[in-house]
Amino acid sequence: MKDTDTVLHERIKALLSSQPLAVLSTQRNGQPYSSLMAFAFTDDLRSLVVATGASTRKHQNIVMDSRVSLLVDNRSNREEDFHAAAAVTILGTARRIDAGERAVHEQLYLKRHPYLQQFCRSPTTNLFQISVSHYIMVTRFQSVMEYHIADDIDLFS
Amino acid sequence: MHAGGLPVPPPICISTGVYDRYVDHNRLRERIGLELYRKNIEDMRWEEIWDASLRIQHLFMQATLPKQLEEEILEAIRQVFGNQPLAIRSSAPEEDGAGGSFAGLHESYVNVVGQQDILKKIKKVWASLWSDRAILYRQELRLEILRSRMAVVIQPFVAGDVSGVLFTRSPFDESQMVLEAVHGINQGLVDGEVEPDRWLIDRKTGKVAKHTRPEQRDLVLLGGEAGGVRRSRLDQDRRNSPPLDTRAIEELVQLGVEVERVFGAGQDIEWTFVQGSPVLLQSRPITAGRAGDAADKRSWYLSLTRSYDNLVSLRERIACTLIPQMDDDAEHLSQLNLEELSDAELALEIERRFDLNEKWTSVYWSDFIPFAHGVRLFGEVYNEVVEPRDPFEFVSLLCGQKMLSTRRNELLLRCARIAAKSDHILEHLKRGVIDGIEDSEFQASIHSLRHHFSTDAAGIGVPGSVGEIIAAMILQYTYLENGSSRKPGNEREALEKAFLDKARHTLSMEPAELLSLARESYRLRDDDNIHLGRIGQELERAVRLARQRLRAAGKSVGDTLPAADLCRMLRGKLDVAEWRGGEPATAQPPGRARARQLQGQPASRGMATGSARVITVPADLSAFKKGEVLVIDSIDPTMTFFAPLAAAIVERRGGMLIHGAIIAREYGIPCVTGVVGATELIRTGDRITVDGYLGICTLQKKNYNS
Repeated sequence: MKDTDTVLHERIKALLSSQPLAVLSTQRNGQPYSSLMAFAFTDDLRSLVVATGASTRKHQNIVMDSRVSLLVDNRSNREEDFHAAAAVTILGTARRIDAGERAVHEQLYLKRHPYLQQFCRSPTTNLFQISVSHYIMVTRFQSVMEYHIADDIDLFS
Repeated sequence: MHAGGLPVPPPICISTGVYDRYVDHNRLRERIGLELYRKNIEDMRWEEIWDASLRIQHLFMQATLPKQLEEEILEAIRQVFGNQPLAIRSSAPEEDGAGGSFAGLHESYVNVVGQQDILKKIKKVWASLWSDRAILYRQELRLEILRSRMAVVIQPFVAGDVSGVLFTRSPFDESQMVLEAVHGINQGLVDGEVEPDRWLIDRKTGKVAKHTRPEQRDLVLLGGEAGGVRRSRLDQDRRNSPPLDTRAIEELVQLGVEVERVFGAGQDIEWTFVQGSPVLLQSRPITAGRAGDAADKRSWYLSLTRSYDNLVSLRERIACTLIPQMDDDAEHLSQLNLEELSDAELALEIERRFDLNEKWTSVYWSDFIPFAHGVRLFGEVYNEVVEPRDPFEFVSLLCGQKMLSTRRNELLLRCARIAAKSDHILEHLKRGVIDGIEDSEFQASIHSLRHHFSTDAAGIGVPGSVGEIIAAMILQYTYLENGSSRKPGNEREALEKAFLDKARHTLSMEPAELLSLARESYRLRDDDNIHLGRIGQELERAVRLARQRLRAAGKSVGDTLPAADLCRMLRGKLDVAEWRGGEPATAQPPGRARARQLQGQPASRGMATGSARVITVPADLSAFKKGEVLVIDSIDPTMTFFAPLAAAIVERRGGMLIHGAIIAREYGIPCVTGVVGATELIRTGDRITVDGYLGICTLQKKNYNS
């Protein structure tokens, strides 16, 4: 039998693979701010990559406070979502990718979202790598499991 | 069948589309989804499915028909049947499938009279799509449970003189038909209340191969004058004569052949005779009996549907014969001075005790467990009669009784009160010792605890732990201000009165008697284990002595060595026993996955937060501290002495009637049951909030590194 760690790791990966989009939350002066984003992720689940124009609000927000949260879910917007849908909340820290390391991140991003090539390669678009500290996965309406990448027990530390 | 020219009362059918309208109008679909998908259905015990089923069926009965739909249905019935009494039957589309037969799984009602009752019975037929048995059966057939739908067939009620069932092909022998018949209407046969005459018929010749008479023919079910079913005693003439004569049997066999021809497969037919002519009531395809997995007790549990009369006689047997006998056996065993026995005599004594323990354990399964069905029967009747907002309201009428477990806890509290006044006793208890305490009142209580309340059973298999656990518990009880269980309140009295008043006019049995049966069923469910524990601890006493003697003689004897090996060693026929393992599993170090919120089902209301104490072996209980939350795989009533100390209880085993839930309700503490992986995902020291309203546990993990 697979151990809980492996099972949860696989479930999170399956959910991320099934969804092209995530809701990204940033904040400014305590005001939360949510945006729908294309994302890519590494196999070990330690990193996510998102891209955004340099003039957007979310870009400014991340530059001012690198702490972010993302939500990925597989809802179908029907009633049965309440028992059948899964959602994962992701906590982490975003870092702007410099020109020197851009190629490898861009490759990961465009492999998932080839149609975004023009957007991604524009000089006005920045890539961010999000180092994940925790995943919080919700299934069956109220069952919640956490997957800790970082060693902190407290999610908000 | 009607179209095929067979003698069937003309039916009208309420299609599955109407079922869908009802479900959608009341937004029931996702409420069912949330109920059945709280966890993987394979992880649900039958008891949990029964609980879920009660809640879902309750939703159906509370929901309302859209006004227009109600009028359409009643108008159609008026046009076809006028004011005739009706039979209202289930017809699930899956019943036509090749996968299985749903015969008898869903409800049917006969002799239904009056608009309100007709509408209520239609709802009940729809609700029966969600009976525990129907859910389990669909799951076994791997049908998509949430897609299930139900049609309703309405026919005029035919009050035959003789009725029964015909299987055109026996499930055991394809070359035979099976015919069962009773006097009166066949509701009694179908529900298992009346034992039928049974004939095996050779399909080739149409002749009777074997006729089996019932033990007695005395009960007969008839249509009541104001609707429903009336029970009566058969007159002497009909008691002595089988319901069918040779000519009638021949007619039915002929009819069976015709029905089989129309449908092209073996059929399970319900029929009745009206003034000498056979009338078909319904027919379903037969499916071969599927071999159940013997290890899966769930199908065995399904046979527990026992009627009230069976339960009454079972109560008599348990209370007047079985428990006194078992207590006598335990008493007898406890008086024997084992020290005086030679090794060979001790071996013989262990074998005797082992056999006794096996015998009473098997009685536990065959008699005590089925008797717990009295609680469920009462629940169903209560909900039918009272139609309460909360489908589990009936449980509050059952708790608050004097149970062995709560009496034991009062005795522990008395010990604690004595101990609190004596440094001598406290000093012993802190060392985990109860022997050698010089206080006659204290020792008398300890003796009673061990003797009458099986407290030694909690430490079975763990040497030296018995005294330690009791000592630790008494110490903790000294911190209790009030350890007594809650008293029945005014609310309970009001509920009881309301039930008795309403039930007096509607039930075929005396409602006060039914309530008393249910209370005894509830109490014995918990007490049984303590009675049985007395036998278990007596076996353990002999086994413990054998281990001591063998070890003193220099033998290597593990704590988990089976009794049979011990006996052989005592007799000098075995020198070194093969090690079979069986050491308790050690907890894995915490990895990256951690539970934040675990879902079970609410089993006792309230909300509490505390430090988790995970019990993997009974000896862990000696570390239990007042204010902690007990987390356990499954608890036995011989161990529930921690309950007055606990802030809440979390159990992996699910159901409203498991022992953790019963004791939690007595002390008014929250309890969540059916938490998958509870003892692995929760760790001692985790801060845990138990929500006994929603059935969830929320964890704040402690820092493992600190």
